[in-house]
Amino acid sequence: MNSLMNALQEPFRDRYQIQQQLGKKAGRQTFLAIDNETQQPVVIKLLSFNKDFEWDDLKLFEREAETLKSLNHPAIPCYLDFFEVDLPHSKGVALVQSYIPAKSLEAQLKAGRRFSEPEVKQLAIALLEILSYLHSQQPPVIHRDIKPSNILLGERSGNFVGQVYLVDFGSVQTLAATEGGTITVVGTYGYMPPEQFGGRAVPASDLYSLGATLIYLTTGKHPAELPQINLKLHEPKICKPQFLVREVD
Amino acid sequence: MKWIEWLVEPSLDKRPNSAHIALVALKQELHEKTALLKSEFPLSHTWNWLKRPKRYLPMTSDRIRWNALVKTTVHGVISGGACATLIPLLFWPEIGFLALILFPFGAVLGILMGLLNGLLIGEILTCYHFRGTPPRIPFQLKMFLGVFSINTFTNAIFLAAIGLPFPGFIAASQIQHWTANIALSSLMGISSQLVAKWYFDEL
Ligand SMILES: Nc1ncnc2c1ncn2[C@@H]1O[C@H](COP(=O)(O)OP(=O)(O)OP(=O)(O)O)[C@@H](O)[C@H]1O
Repeated sequence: MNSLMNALQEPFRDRYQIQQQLGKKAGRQTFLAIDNETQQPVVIKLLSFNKDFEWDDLKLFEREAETLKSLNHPAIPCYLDFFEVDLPHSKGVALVQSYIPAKSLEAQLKAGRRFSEPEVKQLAIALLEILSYLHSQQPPVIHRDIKPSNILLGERSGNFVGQVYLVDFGSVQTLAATEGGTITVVGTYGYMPPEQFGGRAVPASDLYSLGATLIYLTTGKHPAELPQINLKLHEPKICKPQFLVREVD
Repeated sequence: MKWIEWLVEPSLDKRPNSAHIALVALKQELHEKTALLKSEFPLSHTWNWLKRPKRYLPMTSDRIRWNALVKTTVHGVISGGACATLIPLLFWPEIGFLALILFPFGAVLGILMGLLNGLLIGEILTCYHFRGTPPRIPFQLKMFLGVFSINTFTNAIFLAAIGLPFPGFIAASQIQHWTANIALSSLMGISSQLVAKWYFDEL
């Protein structure tokens, strides 16, 4: 991957100068960059068509772009650009979105921050309002990957817990997408409701993931470690091995 | 926090159906803590069930069916009894208060209508409630659904109930037949508005 990092020294399209890597997964990377035209920080997601490439990845990647394009909410990143790129060993596609200057809940928890009950309720209200917005779209947008690393939280001030943002629309399902064709099972183990294992995510599935996230915030324990949730997740009827289950983390 | 456990219910049936409902419930929980301190004047038991604040409990199909049955049966008893009293009065005003004797008969009929109607409404509601995303049903359609279902049901059953034992009654006078029907419908109209409003809240 060093050759990739070297290649990224050159700005993309003479415009986006990579600053730092934010996330990395097989075939997929997220960078913080500066847009030379606006001098604004942006987030660039890169999907490379390398040997691990699956068509489902491209489907989800394009869906993320489409979704961000169609949404307009202060707590959700803005779509900025989408283009093809030539990488050292393969081709790829890049999605540019606005950068949100806030740390993820995951990072804040790891740094030792704890949340009081009133703070958890403030977070819950803010997130439910965002979900309400997503689910009221036509067709409804189901995020499918609500978890602490995808929730960003701005500066705290007084009793206000901070501005809440939701990122990573790379797993969304629009209800229209389930009606025909293939089903892709995505989500993160521990935050996924039983029905999502079978590929059937509904708006209430996001509520489950939100609940698991809130439990994580109050107990500091990963949901998969909690006995009551574990039990619920191991109901045998939900396992459908013929689907591709992408278990993140 | 009980409220969070509601969110991680493994069964979709028991989880809040939408982010909006969860939001209202959470805000209500926050509100209730302060509201309890203010303690509104206590309502008597009989009024309590009419005036109790709206609660968003987890919606299960059983709860929906039960709700539907109870509500329509109550409507049925009241409107059935009222019809049985008022319609004869319309034809034979001279009987006066004696018409009240007929109230229980109407009420019994109303129980039947209400039960049947409740079964129907319960099915319709569960059908919509657990289809994943509730379709956005326009307000007018909901109103129509509510008014229509209860009106046709009650009209059909009531007319059958009068028409079968007393075939002459309906045949005898077209005018009386229509007055009866209109009186019935408008009475049912009021109760159907209530049911329709309930549809609106629940769907
Ligand atoms: N628009 C954004 N603004 C600011 N930070 C972002 C933005 N999008 C993503 N991030 C941060 O970058 C990290 C990586 O983002 P990405 O969506 O690629 O996650 P990922 O690689 O899919 O991993 P995961 O979602 O499992 O954490 C996230 O944890 C998030 O904190």
